[in-house]
Amino acid sequence: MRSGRKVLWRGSSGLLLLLGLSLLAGLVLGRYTIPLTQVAGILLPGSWLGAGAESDPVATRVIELVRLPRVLLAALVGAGLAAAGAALQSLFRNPLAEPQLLGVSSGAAFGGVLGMLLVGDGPAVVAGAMIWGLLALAAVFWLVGHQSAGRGSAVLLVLAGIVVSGVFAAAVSLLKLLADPQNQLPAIVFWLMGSLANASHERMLLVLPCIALSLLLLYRLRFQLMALALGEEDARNLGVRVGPARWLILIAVGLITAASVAVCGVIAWVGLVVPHLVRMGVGSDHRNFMLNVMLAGAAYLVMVDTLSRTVAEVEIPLGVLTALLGAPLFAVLIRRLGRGMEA
Amino acid sequence: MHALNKIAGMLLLAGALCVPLSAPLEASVTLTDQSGKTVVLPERVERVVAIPIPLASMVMAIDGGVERLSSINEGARSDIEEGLLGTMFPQARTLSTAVAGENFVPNSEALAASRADLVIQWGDRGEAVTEPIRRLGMPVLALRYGDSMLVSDWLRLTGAALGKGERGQMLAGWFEQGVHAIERRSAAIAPEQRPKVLYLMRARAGLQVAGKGTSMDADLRRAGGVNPAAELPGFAPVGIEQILAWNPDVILLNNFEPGLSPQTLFEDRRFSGIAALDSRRVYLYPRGGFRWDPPSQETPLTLDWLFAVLHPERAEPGLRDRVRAAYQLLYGHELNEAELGQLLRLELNAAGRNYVELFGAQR
Repeated sequence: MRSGRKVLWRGSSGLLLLLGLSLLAGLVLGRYTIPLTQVAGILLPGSWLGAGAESDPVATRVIELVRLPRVLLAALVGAGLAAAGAALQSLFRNPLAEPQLLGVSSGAAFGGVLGMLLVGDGPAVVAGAMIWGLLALAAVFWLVGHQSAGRGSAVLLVLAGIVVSGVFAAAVSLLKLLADPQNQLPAIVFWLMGSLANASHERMLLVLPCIALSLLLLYRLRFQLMALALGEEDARNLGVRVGPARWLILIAVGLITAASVAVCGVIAWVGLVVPHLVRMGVGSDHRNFMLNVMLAGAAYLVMVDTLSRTVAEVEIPLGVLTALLGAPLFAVLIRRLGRGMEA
Repeated sequence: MHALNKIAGMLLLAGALCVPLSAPLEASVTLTDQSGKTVVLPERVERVVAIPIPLASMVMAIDGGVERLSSINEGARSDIEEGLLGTMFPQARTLSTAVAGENFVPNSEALAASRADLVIQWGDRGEAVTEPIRRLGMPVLALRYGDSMLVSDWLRLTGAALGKGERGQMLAGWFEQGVHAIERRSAAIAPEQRPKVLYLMRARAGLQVAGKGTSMDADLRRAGGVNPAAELPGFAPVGIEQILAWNPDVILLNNFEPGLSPQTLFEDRRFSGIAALDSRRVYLYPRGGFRWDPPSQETPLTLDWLFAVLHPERAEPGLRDRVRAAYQLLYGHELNEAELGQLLRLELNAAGRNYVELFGAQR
């Protein structure tokens, strides 16, 4: 038992270390060169690490106003999207479930654009993204139906996701058509593309409660999720109140997706790739699985975002990179899965 | 054999029917446009559709009114409503914009309804934007977009197409002279005296700079500046750190984002520390009959203004008078003080270094 526990925490502490390193890399790397000692001096004023470093007010602002909110927001959104993906995969007992695939992101995108058109950038976008993201999720759930959460529902679920995504994608196009091409459209297009370039402490604080509480909720529900992954009947036999648990999970997923879409647009593939990577690398021991997924998701998005803003003078859109990295990773997973099925 | 005869007969008949439609009109004008194609136009063009956004104001400038314009790009509406074009040509406010929007793809039905005998269109955006016009049998005058110097031929070609070749020629000459005058003046400036100038195509919805191949890049070099983003392709998205690393001496703001002014940057703490902000050399481009950042008939004025902004110590005094004279020449309009102040963005640019001294009204 004790050695099992040790193994259990080895994975989590490894991922925690990875997250720490990625956060550090995110703070040190950037187009504006700041020596390591100076970064240390800014982050830990008065410590021996930063002693002797020149003080540069621009460097201080870069660290405090640009990199710090950006890596924190990336970590928060990454943890959220990965956990949302893992939760949906358990809930629908389907390894393909992901907020993007289920149309939640499209719904949130529609709600955000609607808010931007009717009210303007700010809380309206967050509220719109949240409401419509949840509605999209409810629509998928309604289409799939209660009874079909079994094995055969994979196709149904994907189809329902395609339907909902399709409708909302078309609705977004329609709204773009209605938007003033010079006054409103550029902001909408930029927002939809997905980027953390506008990260600030204010934006971080805007979504922190929403995502953090949802993460806490998903973490608290990890045993229910584990039970639901076995099937509704088994979950009931294990004493899980399936109805409320399912709704709480869906609300948490909807809130996470909508909040992350609201602050940084649609970032695909994270919810699909990270849980599978964790299963492959650390194992799917359910006691710590949710925690591991959150840590890995945070580290993953921080690393990808750091790449997106450091590789070239031009900033590569985050959504492009997550897809470019995520799709091949997933292709490898599919091949493995296929081989597993044949065996 | 019998069948063959029948077909031949039908072809002959079809040919005979087509002749009156495709035969050139008795008196016609033949031009070679910027895509190298030959355009045959009636002697007197009556209904013009102008799909490139700057061509709405250019046709008004050459023709002295909107009478022959039957439709313009949706995007030109803001020049009429927010710029000075609507003040100078009040009838422009009622012009149809049904024929094309931001993507320049013509709406065939609206185009057919316009019964245009001249359609001006971009010639470098693929066949998708010109083919629907040709399919309707309407003559297309194709123009190329890019460097500002292409504009002098827009003036010549549009003038010739409208039967005002002399006026087009005269305006093209004025245009070239203005551009070359600035080029001559900045040629004398030593490389170390040329400021680093960054044009922000987007400053609110993300950050986007103008790089290689944009008219803004070429213009700021013409006016004696150096573009630190010159190696990037087109309008490129960048991070704030990249701008901090470039540390430009002057930042120029676009005329496209609503509510954008130098104040936006001054209030954003991430920007402080950049040389341009420390010395308060952040300026919003002026806007008159057309926005001054992209190329148009007003580009010589843009370059004159830009030279003064980049090299205030060498600036030739009297830009206000030159703008007035140019508006008289281009639009036949006498600018009043308020219009001139609005055009030069005196209020929004007031905090910019030297701005009021350079461009404000003389007391």
